[in-house]
Amino acid sequence: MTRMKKAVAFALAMVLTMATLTACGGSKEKANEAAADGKKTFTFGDTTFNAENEEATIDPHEAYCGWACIRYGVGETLFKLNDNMELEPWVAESFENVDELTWKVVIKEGVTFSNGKAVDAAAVKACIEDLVAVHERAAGDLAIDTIEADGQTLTIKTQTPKPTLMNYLSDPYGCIIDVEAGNEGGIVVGTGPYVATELVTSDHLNLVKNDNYWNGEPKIDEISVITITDGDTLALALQNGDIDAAYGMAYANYPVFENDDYVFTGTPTSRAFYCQMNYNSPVIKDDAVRKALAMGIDKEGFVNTLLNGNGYVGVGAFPDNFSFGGDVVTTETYDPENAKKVLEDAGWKDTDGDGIREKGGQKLTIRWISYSSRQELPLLAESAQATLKDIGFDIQLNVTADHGTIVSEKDGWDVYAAAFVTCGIGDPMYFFTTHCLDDSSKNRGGYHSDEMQTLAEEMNNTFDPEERSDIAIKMQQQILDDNAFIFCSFLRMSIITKSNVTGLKAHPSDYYEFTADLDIQ
Amino acid sequence: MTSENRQVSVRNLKIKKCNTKIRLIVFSIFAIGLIAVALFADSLCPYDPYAQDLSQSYQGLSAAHIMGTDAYGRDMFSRVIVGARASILSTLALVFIIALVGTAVGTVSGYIGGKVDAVVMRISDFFLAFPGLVFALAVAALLGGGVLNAIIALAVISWPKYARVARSQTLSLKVSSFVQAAVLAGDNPPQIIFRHILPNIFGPILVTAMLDIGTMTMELAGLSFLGLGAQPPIAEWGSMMSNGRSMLQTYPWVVLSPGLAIFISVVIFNLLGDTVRDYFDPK
Amino acid sequence: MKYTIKRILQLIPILFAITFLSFAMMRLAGSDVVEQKMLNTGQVVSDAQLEAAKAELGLDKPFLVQYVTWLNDLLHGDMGVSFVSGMDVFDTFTSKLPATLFLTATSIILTIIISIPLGIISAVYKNRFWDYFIRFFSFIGNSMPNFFVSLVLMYLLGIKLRLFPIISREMCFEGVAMPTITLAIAMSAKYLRQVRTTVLDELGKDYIMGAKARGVKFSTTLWKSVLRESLVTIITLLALSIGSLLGGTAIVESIFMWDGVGKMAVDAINMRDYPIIQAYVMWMAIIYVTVNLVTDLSYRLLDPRIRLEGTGND
Repeated sequence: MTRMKKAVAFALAMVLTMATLTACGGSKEKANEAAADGKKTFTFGDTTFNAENEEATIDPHEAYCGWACIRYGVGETLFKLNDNMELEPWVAESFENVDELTWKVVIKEGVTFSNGKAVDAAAVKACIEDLVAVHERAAGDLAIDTIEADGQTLTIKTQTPKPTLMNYLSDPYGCIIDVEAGNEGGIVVGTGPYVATELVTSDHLNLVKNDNYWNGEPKIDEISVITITDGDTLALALQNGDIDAAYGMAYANYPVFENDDYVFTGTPTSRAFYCQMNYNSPVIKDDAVRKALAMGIDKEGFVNTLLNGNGYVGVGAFPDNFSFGGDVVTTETYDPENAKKVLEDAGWKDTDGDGIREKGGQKLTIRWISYSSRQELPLLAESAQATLKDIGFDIQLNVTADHGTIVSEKDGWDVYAAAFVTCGIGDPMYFFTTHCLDDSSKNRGGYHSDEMQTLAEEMNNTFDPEERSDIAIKMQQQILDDNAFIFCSFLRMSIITKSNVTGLKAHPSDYYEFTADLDIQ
Repeated sequence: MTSENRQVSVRNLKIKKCNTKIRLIVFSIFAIGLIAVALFADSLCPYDPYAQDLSQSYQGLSAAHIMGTDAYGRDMFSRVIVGARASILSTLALVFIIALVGTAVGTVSGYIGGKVDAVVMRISDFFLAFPGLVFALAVAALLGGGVLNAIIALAVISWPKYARVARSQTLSLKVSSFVQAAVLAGDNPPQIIFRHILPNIFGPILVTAMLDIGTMTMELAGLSFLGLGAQPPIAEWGSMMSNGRSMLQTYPWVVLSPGLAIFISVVIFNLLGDTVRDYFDPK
Repeated sequence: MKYTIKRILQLIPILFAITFLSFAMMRLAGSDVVEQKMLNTGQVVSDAQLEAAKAELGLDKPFLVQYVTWLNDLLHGDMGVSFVSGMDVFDTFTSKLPATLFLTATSIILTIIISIPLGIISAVYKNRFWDYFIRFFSFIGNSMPNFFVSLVLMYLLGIKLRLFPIISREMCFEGVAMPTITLAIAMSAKYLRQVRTTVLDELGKDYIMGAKARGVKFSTTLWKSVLRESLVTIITLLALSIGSLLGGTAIVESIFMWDGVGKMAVDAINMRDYPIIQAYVMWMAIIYVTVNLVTDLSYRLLDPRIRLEGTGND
């Protein structure tokens, strides 16, 4: 009898469980577009707006916080990059390169800060001076000597020739803010369509429409930007209707949104996923090892399968929407058989039969350092580990948020896989200055090339864009020939929105998101 | 109670004992099976659990891949089987270590008594004063990721429980007549501990340990889920689930297979734990 | 009263040990903490700068001196600043604590609501249909890791049924629902069994038999005597579970993006933000110890039998 009861209880329990699991709720649509008081609200979920990403606030003069400032429509820069990554007027009307060291910028009439104050040359001067004084990268990038303000005309003199000064001022840190208004709680006053009202680091940012906006009337009354660090939770939140649009979703979730209820807006960007070689490591110093590494990474498989096609296979440092990017340079392609031969010829042989090659008692072990806040990097690491193992490499992965500390030690690593926006301000020199020269801050592996130093010198004195583009191609080819860097892929940046959201478009620079056009139907 | 009633209840107790024995045998076989899978994982899995084949990625359930494949085209079934090693064997090692250390400390401390006992108990109080997982998180943070570090983190916070059990048992045994007799017979303390005390506290310690296996499996997987335990590509159930999270809606087998493996293992060990408790303490 | 004082005095060395350990942990993390802090701000660090920074932070002084200085700062509410966000650690912690306490409270309440009635039903219908039914679910609940439960709940209640929001912004009942259910499932599964055992023990006692013999209605006995007798045990168990709950919230908070101290700790661990980790470990331990003390003392007030049993703490 007892046994009978047990069986019935068990069966009923199972049925109940199954019923719950298969229960399909009716599509109870959440109505959050138009609130009762007729105000239009918009909720945006973002994985990157957090302290780990150095976006603790929206004060552009701090770390990478300018990205948040410009993306969420609080700040605007003097010039804006268009879809071809060329400069267009924004807060400024025009610029003139008077001589190698002098630039004249005319500020538009009628531009106001969100507090109603007019933007004139004096305000811009105050802003740039504060930027140079407090920001860690700006002073070096801009090399500003003096700034003079006269009405709407700003005259900037640099210490050295800076052909790309205007591009640098278009970096998110160049957002024009009212420095007199202060930056209490990380909130600044900009010229953009939205005004920040509340900010909690790594959690959320509340915005309201800027009633004084100089360039049209913003259509949304209230915006809330929510930091959702986890790409999966972000997907569920969009599905559930908690948010109206999402940035940074995990690729594996994309299929869920490929239907009429959602819209994808995507664009190629210059955010490269690349490997940097550590020349301080004796194994990496071997030319054959670097060449074999370059030949042993299956870039096509990585982009097409692991990223579900959400990316572009990399060749050089720039994607092919740039005149100096894409196929204008050549490099090794995925070729495991020849990679084996390269290693074999260089004396790396598997003598003990464990599948790992050795040379002079030294195992072919590679310490691969990377991090997971960019979802592509762990995928790249695991994929490369497997393909390189077939060639005879023993890849030891260390994918950690602590990567910065590890790569700052000369002997702690061999390959560093990271993500970097190589051409954020539309000028190719940016990547080389930061990564490939003797005094580059991100030349972590101690790479040195006489040729590169000479080319860089030449670049710094070249103002003509075409000539700059040619030098950029030579410089790329040089680092590729040295196999000092492997460019695996470029990001296809996507924002997924509910189908009733309009005016939100992904931009190749990855800077501009919220504009006065943003609307919800 | 009438004598008839008493007879019935004695008979019931006997049946119960007999039932418990059968259950004990059945669940032990399950548990041993599970451990055998973990031990012989290499020869049991149909594919190399680390071999990638991108052309085979996200294959659904089929005869060739009974649990499908993951993003890298790796066979999930093979990974789940090999994952048993990192998940189950690590847990068993962890429970064994804490039971051993805890018992040793508790027995000695209880037997010697006095100041030593007071100090040892304050230390264990101190560890018990920390909320378990909070401390494990901190230790894991300090040591960095890795299965071994996760085991250390959990071991550091878990041994006092066993020390408590062993000590209270030792205290009551110390005053029992047979231990007193052994003392009078001139046995030295190690002899007494090994011959008379340890064999008699084996039961309670075993029960505690068996009941702990399920919990520890989940906590170890939890640390891995947070990225503080096993690191990819190592096949470990918690980290496999964590990495497969985004596929819950699109390729559910990638996250459900390891999830099911954890669930089944914990069920088996919990059933065994309950049965062992019933066996030693038939109430 | 004597006992109360004794218990409070016993707390002092434990509090010292907790602060000392938290402090030592921070130091164990190594002197590279300073270096890392500087690297985090994007500076290129020279050895001389490093030494200067260490001297400024007092890291060149003997360990115990550093500890005393630190403890003094601590008592003034100064726990330093986060390496990552640069914000005051104590302020960050206190701003996120209410969310965690709220979640803890709702979880305990839901656990009580689930486990007491079900435990009693299970005991009353011992070895009958409903007993097996309830125990089956309790067993399942006990064997599922909470991160697994979280994922399933998110999918079922959030996506399929759209009952609750996935991410919870405000401290409202709708927002806290899913993390609460996740935590309560595991706890209820555990306490349901305890309730059942306690009630069974009570039911087996002579006074119940006596009441039965006197013709008192069974339901009356159940509510008046059994429930009251069981309650003390259950409340103690719940209070003791606060420790595991405080730790358990970490995983659940970070899955559901509940902005409490648990999520803060997991984020901090991933970024090696030691000042935050330190604050978390220390305050959680202090809260835990305090809750235990209060429980212990109130328990004695509630139950006169224990009061008479003397003051042994074995």
